[in-house]
Amino acid sequence: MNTKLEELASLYVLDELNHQERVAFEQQLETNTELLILVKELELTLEDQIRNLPQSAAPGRVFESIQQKIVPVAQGTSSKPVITISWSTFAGWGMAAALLLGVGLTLLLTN
Amino acid sequence: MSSTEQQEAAIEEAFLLAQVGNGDNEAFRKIYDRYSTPLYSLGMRMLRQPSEAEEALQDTFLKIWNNASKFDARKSRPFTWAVTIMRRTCIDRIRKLKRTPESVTFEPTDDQDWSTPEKVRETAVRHEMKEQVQTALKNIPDKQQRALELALFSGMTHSEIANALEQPLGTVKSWLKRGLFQLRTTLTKPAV
Repeated sequence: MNTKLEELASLYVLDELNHQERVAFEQQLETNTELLILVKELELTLEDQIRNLPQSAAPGRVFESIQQKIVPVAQGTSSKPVITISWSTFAGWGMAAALLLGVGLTLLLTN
Repeated sequence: MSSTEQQEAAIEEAFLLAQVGNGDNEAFRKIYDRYSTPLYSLGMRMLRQPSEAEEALQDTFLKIWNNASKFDARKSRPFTWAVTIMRRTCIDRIRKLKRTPESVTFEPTDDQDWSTPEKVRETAVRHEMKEQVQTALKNIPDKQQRALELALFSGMTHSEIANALEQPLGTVKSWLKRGLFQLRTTLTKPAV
């Protein structure tokens, strides 16, 4: 993978691409499995940074306040469109997970 | 949490978000329970005031409620998606407050909870992960670490970071890429 694409992947994960760049990058993600794996790994790295911050629980009143704003909508669930989730949505993840496991096992066996 | 467990959690959360997209308040509660603490902690780091962090968290979860049906698991992991919403919300608030971003650093934490066996296990796992992250951070050159900190937590644009660090924009982008890649290499390499 070229350096430019790796840099784009970093900026994508850091949410630093403009709309046009983001759309173009996401088109590449749909067809480039190696790039998809890289993005998932960088996202995990970013998530680790967030979870490594000093953790403080939000006050209970925050959820109550959110509920007051959404409960009328939540009770009338028909107002929201019913969507279905396709297994194909996870095909990329499945592929990425399988490849990661394969690489990990190979490294373990070679060591 | 192992990468397999993280993968399983992400798939479960993607389904929860699909349910939230259908107006399922129970699923929304589960997502809130999983994400509110790390997102609020991110808000505290970026905004530094509990009242601001609370409002940002509230706005973020309203956006999650309203946009869950648009979440696309092919494009990002569920928690990363939520983090992006929270960061954008915090950045908007920073700009409204016209606050100059201050210096931010990765600090060691002291959030131990030994009250129940489950909490003891969670605390131990969290501390193990934090040690790994701290070790990974020590391996990054200072400049790259500084650029990454500013990009993640200050709300500054790349151009602002380049100005703050007195470096060309291209250099800053390169540091961000190298810093993130180095963290990824350290954090994702298999234990032997």
